[in-house]
Amino acid sequence: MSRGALLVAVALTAVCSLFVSSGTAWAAANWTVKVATVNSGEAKAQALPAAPVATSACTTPASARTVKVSWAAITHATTYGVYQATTSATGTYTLVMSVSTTSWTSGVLATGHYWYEVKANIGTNWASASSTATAERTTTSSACS
Amino acid sequence: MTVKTTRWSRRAKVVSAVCGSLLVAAGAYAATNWVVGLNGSSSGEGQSATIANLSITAVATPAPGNVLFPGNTGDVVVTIANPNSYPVTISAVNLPTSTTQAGGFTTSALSTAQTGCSTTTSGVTWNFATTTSGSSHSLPTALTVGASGAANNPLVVTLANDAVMSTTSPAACANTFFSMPALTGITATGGAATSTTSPATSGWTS
Repeated sequence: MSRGALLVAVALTAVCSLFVSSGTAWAAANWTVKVATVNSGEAKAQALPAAPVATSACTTPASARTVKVSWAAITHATTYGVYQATTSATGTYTLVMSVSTTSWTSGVLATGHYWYEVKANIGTNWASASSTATAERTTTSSACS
Repeated sequence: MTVKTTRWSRRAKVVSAVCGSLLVAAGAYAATNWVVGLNGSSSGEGQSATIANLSITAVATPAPGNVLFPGNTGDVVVTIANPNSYPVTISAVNLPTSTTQAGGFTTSALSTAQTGCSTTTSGVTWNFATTTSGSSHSLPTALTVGASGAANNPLVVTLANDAVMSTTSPAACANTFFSMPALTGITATGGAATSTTSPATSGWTS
């Protein structure tokens, strides 16, 4: 009788341990829970880049008929478009070069009067307004300092 | 000899009773918290009446610290509500495909759509999403949402740099708020755990 009771107890303990250990493993496992919503968070995009300021132009050297245009860097800008007009400050500006630096030097220009504006770009489609100052330069005026 | 037999019999009874109690308790515990299929990719929904789905929704406060611009990442702010009577710890999320885009809105209320910046044009997606829907991404630090009615439920979380904006995102998406695409699921465990203090910062990094 006593031996039988002992055997039952031992067997039950073994089964019990098995259940408890497997239950622990079960509990520790992960499951995938579906989320019952139509959106999952909010993000925000910054504004378009600010327009470059302090745009300047100088000839380099004075007699070489090339113009160097410079501007201040804009945060997050990946490229800058340099636009040129040849008739007036309010004339039609045409993109002459896209650069990733904060200055650009033209090729040899015909003697004359030129106006420059710069736009900052982020990625392919985000562009700033034109630079707040129009750089005006004749190819025979003062050289770069 | 007779006394010894009685003692063993009592011990056997005590062990049996304790063991039986443990079995009943384990069964009850399982029935309460863990009766959920463990199939990795399917939803817990409908598999057990005892597990209710979590809700993950957009929230405007706090504002994202890292904002999006073309070719870069930004924060996503979410609120996670747990309707269950026990804490739930989230260890990973499942993302929609990398082509599932967020829609743009004019304000943080996400009520008025931003013209030209829709779910077909925005270029804003979950960071690290793949071409396969349901890809799993682990959180470096697990998030535990308190039980229903307890502190830190809902839990507000900033998912750092977990949104990404394409370099070709249109200019119309500038200065815009985005409603991120719905997650396809989360990987979680339930049961006793210390809840994460709200607001929290987390986010997958791969």
